[in-house]
Parts: sequence; structure tokens; C-alpha cells
Amino acid sequence: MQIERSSRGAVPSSAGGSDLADILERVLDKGIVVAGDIAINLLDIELLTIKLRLLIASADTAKKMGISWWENDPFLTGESRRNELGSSNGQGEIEQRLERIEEALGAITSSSNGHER
Amino acid sequence: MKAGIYVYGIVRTGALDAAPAVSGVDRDRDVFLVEAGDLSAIAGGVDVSQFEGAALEANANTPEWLEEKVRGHERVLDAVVGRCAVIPMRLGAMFSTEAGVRDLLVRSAESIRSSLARIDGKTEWGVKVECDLSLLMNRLADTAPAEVSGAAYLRRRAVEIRGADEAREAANGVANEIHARLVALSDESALLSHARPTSERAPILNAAYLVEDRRRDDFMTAIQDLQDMHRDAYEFQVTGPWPPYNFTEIDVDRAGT
Repeated sequence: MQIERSSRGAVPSSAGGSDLADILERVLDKGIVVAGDIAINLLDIELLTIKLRLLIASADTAKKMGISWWENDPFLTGESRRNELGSSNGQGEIEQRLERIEEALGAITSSSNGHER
Repeated sequence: MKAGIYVYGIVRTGALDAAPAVSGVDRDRDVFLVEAGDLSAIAGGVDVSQFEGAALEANANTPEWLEEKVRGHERVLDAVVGRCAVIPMRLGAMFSTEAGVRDLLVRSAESIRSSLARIDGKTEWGVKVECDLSLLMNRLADTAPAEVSGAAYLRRRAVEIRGADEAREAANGVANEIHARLVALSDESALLSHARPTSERAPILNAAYLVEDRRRDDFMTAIQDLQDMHRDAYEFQVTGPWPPYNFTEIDVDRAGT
């Protein structure tokens, strides 16, 4: 077990401290919403929120390939899935993306090879 | 430049002898208290123009700017958590004047007071559990005998697919067991949405618990127990102490008099 945020107090402003995603999970959806004499257009806040969600989503994508574990499992989908994933993406990223996907597939396939035939 | 007042959270007047000495969303501006009777807002100066129009468009596309604002918001609240009961505001609560902040405190005083009472002496903790489903699945598959014929292959494949279902079912069972045990040790709980599964691990539980401070040790011991019990395929992550975001929702629009 690990407790990520040290017991209370100063959270370092940059790299350290809690995972940004953990904070966003809370500050974007929870907490008091205000009305009344607010200084800012609510639509602007909405844009801010959307951008923050995108930021997290793209960080997630980079980290986790943006493909759910089940889709990515050769066990459940068969190997043909590999081609589909490769060709469904934009040209620019395709090489990097394939590399990541193949790496992950490789890891999964080698761990489940024993059962394939 | 358009000066405004950013509100981080609300406390009881007198609960803090001074505003937290940290910087908030704007690094060069002070954090201060805005008082209205028995309630005080933890507030700070802010340049509202960066959150508007074209400036916002540009800023919102800059990850560093976004992160700085989010961390600034959280930094102020983190400095208060553990010192007194605090109701966190959602990101981006900005007022034109201090009078506007006071108006919020007065208008919503009733619901703010009851919200503060609800969280007194309690702390929010986050618990995430991830499961290595492929490990569980391989274990189930390993118990099936190896055969070579085509029909046997298909049978085997069926077992494997069933194995995936069984693994998920087993993981759900464990998630329920963990949650039930932690619910028993907390005052309130909230299930949060799951993160996306990775190739390695599937999230099976993401929850927040409001735990009385005097029961904190019991709560942590229970998590340690559960982790020991399920060491093989499950990984626990505890976060906190958090401002009680998940247990203080007040819709100020409808609250108040």
C-alpha cells in the first residue's frame, strides 16, 4: 500500500505531490458551484474545464495507448485486431502508435502464448 | 488586467488565525480571508482576464498554464486540510468584489453551516484498486488440461473466454468486499468513475471515503489487511488527505434564502 499525498501540508508545486488526474477528478466535478456576482462568464469556465479534461485524456492516451485492455487483448479479439488498430489512425502518429501497440501486444501474447494452441 | 477575487473554500470564522501563507492560482497575489459573520471565505486576488476570451483560448491550450491553475487551487486548500473543516469550491470560482463573496456566504449560510457540521473532524481519503486480470485469467486457464485436436482447441478457447468472464467476476467480488469493509469504517462514501483500463491492469474500485479522524488508523489498517489478503493480483493506492470534495456539494443557486 502506498499513500500518495504525504500526510497533509505542503504539496510541491510541480513534479511531486499528487497526480494531476487525482486532483482534477475532484476540482472539476465536485465542490461548491457559485452563482451570483461572479466575475467570469460561465462559458469560459466550461471551456477551461473541457481543456483540462482533454489534457488529462491526452496524458492518459500517451500513457495507456487509449485502447481499453479488453480491445487490446489478442485472447478476446484475435490477431486481426492488430491490423485494424494500425490502419484506423492518422498518418502522422501511426508509426509511434503501432510501436506502442505492438509492444503491448507482444507483452500480452508472450504471457499467454502457452495457451494459444 | 481585470482584478477579481478567486475563492478557494469556506471555513468557520476564527477556525484559521490567518490565511494560509501559500500562493494560489496567481503566484504573485496574496491569499486572504473574507469574513461574513460566522463564515469566512479563503480567497485570493486574481487577474480574471486570463480566464476570458482570446486570452483563455491561448492559455487553455497551454498544459503548463492549466496545471499551474489547478495546482494553485489545490495548494491553498491543502494548506488548510487537517487544520479545520473546510468546504472546497469547484475550480474557477471568481467574484468581482469582496461584497460578492460576502453575499455568497450570507445567502448560502444555512447550507454551508450544515455542510461544515457534516465534515467536522473527518477527512476524505481516496482508494483505488487495480486488478491484474490477465494473471487471474491465466490462472483459471492453467487448470484446464492441454489437448491438441481441433475440437479440443475450440473447447479450450471457450474455456479461456469463460475464464475472462470469471476473472472479471472474481475481481468484482473482491471490489465489493473491499468497499463494504471500508464503508463500515467510514461515515460516508462515494463511488467515483473508473480510470481507463491499461494493458496491464483493470481498475476495479475508485472510491472516496469520509473517515472520522479518530478512526483513521482503523481505516488504514483495514486497507493494509485487504492488501495483504489480495496481494497477488490486486494493487491498492490510497490518496489523501483531501479537502472533502465528494461530501460537501452545495448548489448555491438553489441554496440560501
